[in-house]
Amino acid sequence: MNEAAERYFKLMFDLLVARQLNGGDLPDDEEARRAEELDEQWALMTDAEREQAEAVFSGPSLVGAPEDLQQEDLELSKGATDPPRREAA
Amino acid sequence: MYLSAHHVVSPVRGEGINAFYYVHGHDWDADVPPQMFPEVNPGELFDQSIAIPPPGNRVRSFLDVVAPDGASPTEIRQGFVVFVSRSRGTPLPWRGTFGRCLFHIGMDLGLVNQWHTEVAVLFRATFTVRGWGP
Repeated sequence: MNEAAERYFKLMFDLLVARQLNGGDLPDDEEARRAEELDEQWALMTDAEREQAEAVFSGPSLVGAPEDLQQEDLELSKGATDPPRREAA
Repeated sequence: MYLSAHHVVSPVRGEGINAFYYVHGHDWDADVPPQMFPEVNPGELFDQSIAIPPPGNRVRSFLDVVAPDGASPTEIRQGFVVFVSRSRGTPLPWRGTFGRCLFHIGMDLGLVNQWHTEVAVLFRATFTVRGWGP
């Protein structure tokens, strides 16, 4: 993966998080600024990298998920050697 | 290292993201050794970021990342991208090893329609608790 692809994926993850933190959408000017940055990286990416990006970020195509994971978290202190979650009681 | 992010919900405390950073004290050159799998040996908890205090919160989604303690953010991000692109279209949970990293993602049915965002938020949380800010 070249530098542009690496940057593209970072920008896309950042964009998705920013939208989430902002309640779903960003102001138009910020969306435009981010889109421009993404376009710049996209132009530098190879066909294989673009295909990979489409595979990660294009529309929903998840096949099946459980209704409930049946897992709960645990209270841990620094130095703990237990995993942070377990099967729900 | 073992990085884990949870999207949790509590009827009392609400909903949010908790993240955990464990160290193994080991590096490796190839696939993740089975003795470093989180269910076998998560390592030693070094730091955590808690939005909804445990215990007993229901886990709605999680992302686990296992990598050598000295792995770079670039190595993990590149492995993660390959992992997601290859796993997409298969039933959850997803689990796979890419390079020196192991990834594991699960989420409940209610989050599937927003899975891109969910994955991005969890991924960001693992980086943040590790100290790799935006």
